[in-house]
Amino acid sequence: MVSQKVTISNPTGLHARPASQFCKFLKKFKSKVFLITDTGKADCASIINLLSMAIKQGTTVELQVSGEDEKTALPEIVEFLKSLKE
Amino acid sequence: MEIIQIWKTASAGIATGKAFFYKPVSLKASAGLIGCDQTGAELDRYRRAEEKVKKEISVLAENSEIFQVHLDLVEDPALQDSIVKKIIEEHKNAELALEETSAEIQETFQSIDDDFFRERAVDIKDVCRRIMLALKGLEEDSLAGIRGKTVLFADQLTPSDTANMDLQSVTGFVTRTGGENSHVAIMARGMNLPALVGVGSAMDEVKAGDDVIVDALDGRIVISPDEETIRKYSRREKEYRQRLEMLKQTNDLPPETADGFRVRLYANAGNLEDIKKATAEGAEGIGLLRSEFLYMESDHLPTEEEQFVAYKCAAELCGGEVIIRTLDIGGDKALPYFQMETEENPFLGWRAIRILLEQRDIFRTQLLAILRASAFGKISIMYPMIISVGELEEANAVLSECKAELTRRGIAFDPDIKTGIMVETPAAVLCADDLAHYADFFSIGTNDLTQYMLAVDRGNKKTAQLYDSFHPAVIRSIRSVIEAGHRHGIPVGMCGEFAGNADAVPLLLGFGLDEFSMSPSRIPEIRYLIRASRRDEAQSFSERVCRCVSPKEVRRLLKERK
Repeated sequence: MVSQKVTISNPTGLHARPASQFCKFLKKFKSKVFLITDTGKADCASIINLLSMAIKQGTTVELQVSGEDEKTALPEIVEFLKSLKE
Repeated sequence: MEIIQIWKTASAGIATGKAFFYKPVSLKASAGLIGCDQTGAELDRYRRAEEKVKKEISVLAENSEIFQVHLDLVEDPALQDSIVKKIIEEHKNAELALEETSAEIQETFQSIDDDFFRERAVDIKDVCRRIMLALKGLEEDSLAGIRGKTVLFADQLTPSDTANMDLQSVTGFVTRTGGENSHVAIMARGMNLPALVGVGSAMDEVKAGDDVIVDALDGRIVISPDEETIRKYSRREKEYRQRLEMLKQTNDLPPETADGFRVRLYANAGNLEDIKKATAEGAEGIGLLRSEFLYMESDHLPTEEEQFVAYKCAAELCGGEVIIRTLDIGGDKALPYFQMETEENPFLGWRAIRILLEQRDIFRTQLLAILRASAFGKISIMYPMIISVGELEEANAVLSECKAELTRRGIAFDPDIKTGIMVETPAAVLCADDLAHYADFFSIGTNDLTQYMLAVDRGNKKTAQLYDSFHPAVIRSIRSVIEAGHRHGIPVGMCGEFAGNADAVPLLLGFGLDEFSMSPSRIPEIRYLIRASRRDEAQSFSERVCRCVSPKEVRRLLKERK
């Protein structure tokens, strides 16, 4: 398993549309991706789990990636979250 | 006739018709438990319902991002896992498994302490209702049957309900619950359908079949209007539509007078969300980014990294110039984690640049973050509350130190970043010629300037009526600041409310203001007015206004001109 902290910087946070884009983006990896905050842990394959974390702009989250492509996936996932604009 | 005041509107416009109360048929799960041998068949039944719903939503999702999210929800593993578990392990039938799962997820969302996220409970409910209908082999038809001009009243509406409305009949809607950020409110705005949401018990005054007018411009519901009111509203509705049409014509055109004087139309922003609104309204840049939001929404002084991320994001969201005002606290704005003594005259006290020049760490952290972000877009810096050249020199000296530090750290920034000042004190007005030597631009802050120039506290009820930006002292100050800036070849903007005031447009054009910065929603109208003006006419008019001896006389001239 590999992990990294990242700060969500887009104005609406992981809101409906960004979360939907994020879930779709993760489908291209074989690894399982979890997102951890002070309040809990979400399986990122589920948009319901992601939305229920109510992750707002400025929140620092820990990404945990585990699976055969974890090493290549992690930096791509971090980059994706950082590049969210909305 | 009865009028109910609502205040909040979700989607602007005026709707008239008969009140129709929409109550979706309750879809209770037919109780049950199933035998061990039936679980496979029950799962198949659920899968078939799911497939049917996916097809339905896919059609809607072609033109709607909201329904694209609904599609994700139907396929969501958390939803599916819970339902499958209830069928296989707890031997519940598909309806019961769905009903329980739906309730559990909605409960999780309803406990979230944030409107934006809490509203998503409605989307879960909507999707689960679709699956329930499919399981029962039913179609949603209660909205399709509406005939004649109708205003819809409901406790709550879902995106599906909104998509099902026949817009030939439904002229608008009112809901008891829900907020301006709900997907339903967003859809209503997209459909130009007048709507009031979250009106609460005010709705109980209306009875089914009543003739109603929903005024979603001023936030009112009129029940059984008399003839005169009906005529009044039909006129207002027509005017509103004409106005929308009129403003639409100039929406994509540059802010330029008929005789070719081009200004810049900027917006003021209090957070990143505002920047999105500003670009949507056609702002070319941000004339005032109030950096306070970063400090107010935090429980600690925001770090360089936190600020950098936000400023970079602001520049990228905007695409044009973003003028960041350095921290402006004190006066009426305090930070919970930053101790300030109670002062007798806070507006004349320790605030804005006065604090930053003493609290160098806070100032340096902010300047470093702004400089770093300047490598990613066009960013300018603006110092608030300047009264003398010394303060400006001192602030710029700190900025030079910060630039040197970044160079040492090997971090990129814009070496030619522009630094300007807010002109909002009488001292800055009178010393504008001196200040122009050291500033790259001026931005007139008319709200504080009016208060300081007239020595009037607008929060004080007894003096509030004296607060008037059309006072000759304020108007002549504005003219003299613009002239001073131009004598020294620097642009002059305005980021106070005066810049978005329709009556002020001819004055400001006449003085030659270079940049108008206002709240995003004011942009279409000000753009229209600028394009309908002539600079030469505005010039002679503004000279006349400057000779007025009272606010009353100024207003009379403005009125005559219309």
